[in-house]
Amino acid sequence: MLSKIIKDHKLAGSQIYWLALLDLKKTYSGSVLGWAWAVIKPTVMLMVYWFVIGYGLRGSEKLINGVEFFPWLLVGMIAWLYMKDLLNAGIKCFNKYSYLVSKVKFPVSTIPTFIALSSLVVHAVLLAIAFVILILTDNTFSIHLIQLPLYTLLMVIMMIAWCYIVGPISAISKDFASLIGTIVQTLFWMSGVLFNIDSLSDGVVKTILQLNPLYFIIEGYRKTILYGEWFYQDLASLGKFIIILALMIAFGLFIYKRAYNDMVDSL
Amino acid sequence: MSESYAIKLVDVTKRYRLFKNDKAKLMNLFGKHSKPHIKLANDNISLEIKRGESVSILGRNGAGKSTLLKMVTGVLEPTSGEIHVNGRISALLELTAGFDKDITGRENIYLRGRLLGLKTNEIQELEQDIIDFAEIDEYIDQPTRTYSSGMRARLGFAINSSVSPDILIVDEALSVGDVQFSKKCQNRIHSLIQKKHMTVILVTHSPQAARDFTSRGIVLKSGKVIFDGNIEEAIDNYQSQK
Repeated sequence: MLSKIIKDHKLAGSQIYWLALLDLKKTYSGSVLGWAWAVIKPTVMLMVYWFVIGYGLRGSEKLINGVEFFPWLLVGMIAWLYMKDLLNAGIKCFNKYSYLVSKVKFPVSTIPTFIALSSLVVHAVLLAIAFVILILTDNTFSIHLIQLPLYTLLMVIMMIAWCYIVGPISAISKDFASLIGTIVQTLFWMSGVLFNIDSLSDGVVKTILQLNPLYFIIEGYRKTILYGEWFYQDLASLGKFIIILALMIAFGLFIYKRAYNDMVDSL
Repeated sequence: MSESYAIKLVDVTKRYRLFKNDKAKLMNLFGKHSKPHIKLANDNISLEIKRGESVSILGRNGAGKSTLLKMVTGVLEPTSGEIHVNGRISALLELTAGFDKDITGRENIYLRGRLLGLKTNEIQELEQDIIDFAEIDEYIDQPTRTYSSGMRARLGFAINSSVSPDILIVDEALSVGDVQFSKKCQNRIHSLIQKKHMTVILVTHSPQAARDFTSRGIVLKSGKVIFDGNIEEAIDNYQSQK
């Protein structure tokens, strides 16, 4: 299956980039402000959480790993937003492009890839804005910034694997799509975007939450941009993440292979 | 491209698995919980179509024509057997289906062109011809979801017949739009066959069209080839079916 997917990607070649841009256009066209929504929505979200949690619930005096709450929230949120985009887009990816799946000849396995790339453009824009804000609020950066592409790459691979898992299933069954919608909401609260999982005292809960691969990425972004830690400094979490990622890829390939024909017939 | 055939099918079989409902289909992903009903759409079909040949495929609804064409175009994969295709295929099947409704007609021209393997500059050259032929005019920069079904079909026909394919598959597409446009389409197909020696596969229920365009007829019944030969005899065979 993997060799088929690689062949598909070679076949599609530069079409992948073109389709990524098309996807972006599709997502943000049709409204007057269009592109601006990609920035407005996250900004409002960020402000609300910053106000409610930073001021309302926990007080703003405490530092997390030596970092103030606002930059801590901002950086985590940027990584989360990309993953949230794809958690949702992944469910619909084959449905959204059903005409590519069942109406024309197309290397179907490239759909998750160009969807992931499409959101990556938004991610890059938000990241750039975040850096401007961080600089304006007197944050300094370290050499650790150079490992950012590594975390981004791991994040993109993980989300593509996610698309392979949920995309075919929800093309077959509509119930499944609703189920995942609920899970995404839960994941937001469980991924350490809003609170510091490391500071939990309960061992079991903490261990389970730390297994969440989304948490690994979110913390990875913070380590890179804020804490100044190298990815190999915590080999245990890196190892756990790699294992989970490998399992996700294996499961994704399994589902995609099993469901492919039924999916083409269903769409 | 040295082979003499355009399309070659060897023992091609397509089975659809029909499940009772979505849940049964879902459960089947993780093990065999319920037995699907197997529908045999194409049963062990072998045939060869030479380059430059024009062939009609005849058969009643449900005989397996569309499944066969979908496999030839590469949209579906056969359950077993092999399909060999020489050259670029452009299919006029379900003309309106391959459009992205959220983007404009012009963008759809580029999308389709790219999916058919054309480069940007090649599409640019064809762009105006396609728009003129489809008679879309100022609507070309509107999203295709605002098009009428006739407009979409016209655009679909214009794109697929303009990309100079080696093999053209026409599925009931001769009745696009009004009488004048339909005439225009038929003329275009005629000229494609004559000038470019294109291989043409025509699916039709109209004996007249089959005679006009093709010299060979293949009759399908319940997924099997029951006749393959001269078009007149094929039409007789098809019309004598109960």
